[in-house]
Amino acid sequence: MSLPNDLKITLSPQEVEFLTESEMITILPRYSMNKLELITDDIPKLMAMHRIQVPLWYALILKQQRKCSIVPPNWLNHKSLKEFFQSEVTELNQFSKLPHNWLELSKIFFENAADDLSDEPAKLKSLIQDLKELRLIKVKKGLSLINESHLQLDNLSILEINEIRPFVVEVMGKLTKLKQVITNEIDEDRLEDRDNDDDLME
Amino acid sequence: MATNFDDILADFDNQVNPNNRLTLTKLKRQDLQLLQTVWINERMAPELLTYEHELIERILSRLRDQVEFIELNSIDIQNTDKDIKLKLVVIESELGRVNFLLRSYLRTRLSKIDRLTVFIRTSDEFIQRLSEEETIYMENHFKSLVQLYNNLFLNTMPEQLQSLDDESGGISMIEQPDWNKPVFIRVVNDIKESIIVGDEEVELEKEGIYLLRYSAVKNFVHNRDVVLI
Repeated sequence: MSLPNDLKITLSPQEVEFLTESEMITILPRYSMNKLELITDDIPKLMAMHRIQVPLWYALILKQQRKCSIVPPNWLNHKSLKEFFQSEVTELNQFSKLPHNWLELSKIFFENAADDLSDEPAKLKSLIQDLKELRLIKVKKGLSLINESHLQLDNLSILEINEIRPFVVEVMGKLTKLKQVITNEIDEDRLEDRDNDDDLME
Repeated sequence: MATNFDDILADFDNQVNPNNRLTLTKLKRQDLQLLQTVWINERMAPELLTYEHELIERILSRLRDQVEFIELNSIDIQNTDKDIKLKLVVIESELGRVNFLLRSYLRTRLSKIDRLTVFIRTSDEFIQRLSEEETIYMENHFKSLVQLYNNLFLNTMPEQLQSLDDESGGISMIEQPDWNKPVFIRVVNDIKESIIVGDEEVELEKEGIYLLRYSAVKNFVHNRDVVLI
């Protein structure tokens, strides 16, 4: 009741986006403003045309009021994304080292700061989409390795984890239970065997 | 005591570091990080984790100051600060964000307390993990619930079937946390010893992301060597 049922299983996409908005990003202010004291941060004094690091949610407010431009992260351009795609293709057994929130961050950029990107947003979008699909195929292939003990998924982003979480958690939970039942039965069999042996000895 | 944590730290900073503004900012950022971590941990862990008294107190006390600031400045129309409108937008947005995190954290805990009441009440360790308010809530809620069950149907049942914590017959009525629930973790600190999951040995590499059962990493979650994601 205090927490909706669908939120008990996983984080919602909105919540993941919320977490991304807490992260720091570099902006180029077009506006000067005195420093600002907040609950979870202090924003230093803004000076026009001086680069500065601020939380993303704050950058988005300034951006909406056309008071800054946001500097895209160093991987959000045509060249880097192509490279990531290449390494995704050549290294079939692992995920390339994209930041853990690459999907969320690029979505936020396309929606709010497309004009700050150095390359054409449509092209970047399709590259991101390709990367996403390729990685999803890998995730699905990796899931065939699922067992009751563990699975290693380095460099997977939170959004990608959330996508597979409900399914994976369910399957692994079932496997764990099955394994337990089997182990218990084997133990019982052994005990019975020993009992029989004892009978023979007598 | 906890309410003055900021002041104590600020005093301490004044002695060792004259440039204490920067350190207070750092502390604020750490608190946000920590709040986000404990929020997600609480959301993903099958058990009820320890209530973060000091952290919540620190944030609440700053939150109260901020609300006061908003009230003072929105009444004062003659304010000389030309940016006050934009500043208030920013301050209110942040307030909303912090409120959201706090609420979601507390609500997640309440939903677990509701579900695991009988189990929590049997264990001193778990009772310790509740805040004062949560204990009061749990006791009152449980009392009302038992009364309701009694009035509705329990008092018409045979006496031996009336209890809510029957453990006889090999099946316990008490709902326990699902200790073997699979969880996603990220390793944030070096962990030297490898862990045993079922009959496999697993080495946890720093910054690695794993999916495994909660019981295997429970202690690392408690001391924050791994975080749930």
